[in-house]
Amino acid sequence: MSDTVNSDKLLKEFAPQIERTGNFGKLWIAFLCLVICYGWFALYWQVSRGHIVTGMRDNVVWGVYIVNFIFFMGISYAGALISGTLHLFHSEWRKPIIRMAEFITIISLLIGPCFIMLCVGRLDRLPNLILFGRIQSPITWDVIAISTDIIGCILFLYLALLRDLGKMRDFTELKVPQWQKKMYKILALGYTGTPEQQLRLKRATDVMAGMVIAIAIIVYSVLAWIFSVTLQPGWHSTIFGPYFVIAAVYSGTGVLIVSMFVFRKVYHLEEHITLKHFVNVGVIMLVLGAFFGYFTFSEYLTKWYGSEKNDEQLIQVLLKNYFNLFILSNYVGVLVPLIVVGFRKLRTINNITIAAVVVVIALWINRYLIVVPTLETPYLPIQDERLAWQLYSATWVEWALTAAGVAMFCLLFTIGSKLIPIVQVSDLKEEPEQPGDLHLM
Amino acid sequence: MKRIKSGILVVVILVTGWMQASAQAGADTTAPASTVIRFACISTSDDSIQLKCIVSVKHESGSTNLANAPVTFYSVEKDGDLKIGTAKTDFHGTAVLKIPASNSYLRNEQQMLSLKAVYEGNSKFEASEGEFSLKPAKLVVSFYEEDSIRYVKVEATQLSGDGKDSPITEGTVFVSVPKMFSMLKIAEITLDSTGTGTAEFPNTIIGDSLGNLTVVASIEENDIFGTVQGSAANNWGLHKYLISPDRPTRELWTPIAPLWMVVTLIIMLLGVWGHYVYAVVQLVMINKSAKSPKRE
Repeated sequence: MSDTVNSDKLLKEFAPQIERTGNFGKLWIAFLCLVICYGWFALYWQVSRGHIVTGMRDNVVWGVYIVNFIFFMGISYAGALISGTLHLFHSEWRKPIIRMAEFITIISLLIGPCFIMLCVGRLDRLPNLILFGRIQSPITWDVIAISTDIIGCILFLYLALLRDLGKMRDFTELKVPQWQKKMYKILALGYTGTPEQQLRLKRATDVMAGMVIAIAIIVYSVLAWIFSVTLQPGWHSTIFGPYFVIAAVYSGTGVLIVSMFVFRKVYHLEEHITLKHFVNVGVIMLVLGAFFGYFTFSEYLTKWYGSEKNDEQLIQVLLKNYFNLFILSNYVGVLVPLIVVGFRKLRTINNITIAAVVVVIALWINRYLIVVPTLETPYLPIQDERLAWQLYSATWVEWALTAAGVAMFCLLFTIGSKLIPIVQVSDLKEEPEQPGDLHLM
Repeated sequence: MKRIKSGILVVVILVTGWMQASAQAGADTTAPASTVIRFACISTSDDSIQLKCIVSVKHESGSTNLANAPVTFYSVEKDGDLKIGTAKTDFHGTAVLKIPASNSYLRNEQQMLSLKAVYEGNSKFEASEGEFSLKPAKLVVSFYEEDSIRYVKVEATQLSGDGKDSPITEGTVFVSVPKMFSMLKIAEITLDSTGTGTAEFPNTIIGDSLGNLTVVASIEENDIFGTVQGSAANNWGLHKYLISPDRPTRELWTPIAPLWMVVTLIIMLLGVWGHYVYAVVQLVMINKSAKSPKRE
């Protein structure tokens, strides 16, 4: 009974966010729609004129699009790993932030693959991937892995939402349109929290929590293998799989902290999301940052020490042409979170958020440095010496579509928070204890 | 005092700026880069001579081929150079012009043509030229079979301007087959007094899917004839199959995936999707239990 009272109290608190959109909210949504429209125009420009309007050429065939693809897929896996792990370990403090992690997972999983489509010159040939797909092709692995991951994550999010959907269906004071009420009713699947339903839901959620962790690792490794199975300098590396996974979770933790900060401010969640949550997620970020630094160092040290001609050439390019980005990505991006979270005195909400922003930017640049400089220093000498063909520089079309992707991420996050409370309202005590349950307080 | 200091600072900035601007302006008026022409002529079996030259620009770290450069070809004659024609270099820096082997350009006592390729240059690149002398020649390739052994035969002829063609009685002809990256040499023939020579044709050369082969005979960079080439086709090659139809393999590049890969994928997909199905079944059971209040 007390659980129901507690949930109702929370629902009452969050009801205004779902029922109304303030002027600032409307302005924010309009701004995002404007950016997305700009992206649509850029897409029309690209489709009507071909890929010549991008900076991609015969030599550098991948650019900002693939960087965005890796980045969005990375933060989605981070969301899955964080929410799955916190669920499996029954961490009590996860409740206010786990919904955000789940939203990050689903939304970025929907946006990420769109960027890979933008790289494809002949979209009409896209069905051939399914019709004539070869299992030996890493692209086919990616298609299978990403589609499996999307379905698994949607299922996991749905299971995690079921209790809240039941609560919202039964909460009569909620003033939302009829269609929204009907939606809650259909999606709640008649869940009323009987012992049998609780047990079944827990079993399914536990299984899916384990699955999303495993799939996240596999899928991001597959993405890394697309690079590492090729014989390109800088890509052909055995540690690329774990390196990508760590980098993904690291950047995703940064996005989660930024989301926590934004929603805490906008929805006034100071009571629910406290310094403790920022420090806890910050510590996860610190550990991941240390691992990321270790992998990066290991990757470049072995290449530098080996002095293989093309690796040496690539490192020269990184340290000469991309010096500032290299330092920002691999030094600043690792040291800032280590210092901010490592020293107790520096652990404030603002500082941790700033460190998270640095991590997000640094990790985006990290992906850029993996993709572009390697393609600019190929094994085979190219036949045409024109600099424009050798070097890559993103055009306004690519930046517009990148901005549209980010805007779409923010818009879907905003819409999601308008349909479902951004903080889990059902009480965690509803999850029946099972022998062998792990706890991480 | 402050004004004096500010004044000195402004003067320093202006002087530095002027010096840099002067240096920049100086950099813009650098001398034109020197160019080099590599000129050669190839007599081909279609009774023509290919005039081929490569224009490159010399710089500190080596040389780069010059694209889109107009090259004029001349015949060197008594009364001055006679223009034959002009061709522009492609992205590899190569300009090519074809002329008939029997032509009216002036020949010397040895019946040799004297040709010249000239690049006029411009404000960025210096002019350069190259010369080449040759006596037109012709190589005819043919094939025959004797006692189940296959042979390739070459006939080399030197073409005189007066119509008195005669055999090339000495020299070596290389016989080769063009492959993807280079020419595969299959025989080396020494010409006899009649200007002919034969060699056994190997039966291990892979052709296309019908066994078709192009065979090229050539005299390379001869002092008198330059490069002479002749070619002919036969179907004596081994039939090329990308995949042997009677022995399907499971290599990475064949249509059938390696077995370990198929097994791994099936195990992983079954494992993952099995769990999905389990979760969906649980959802169905939750829905079912809600619809049957008796069970509660």
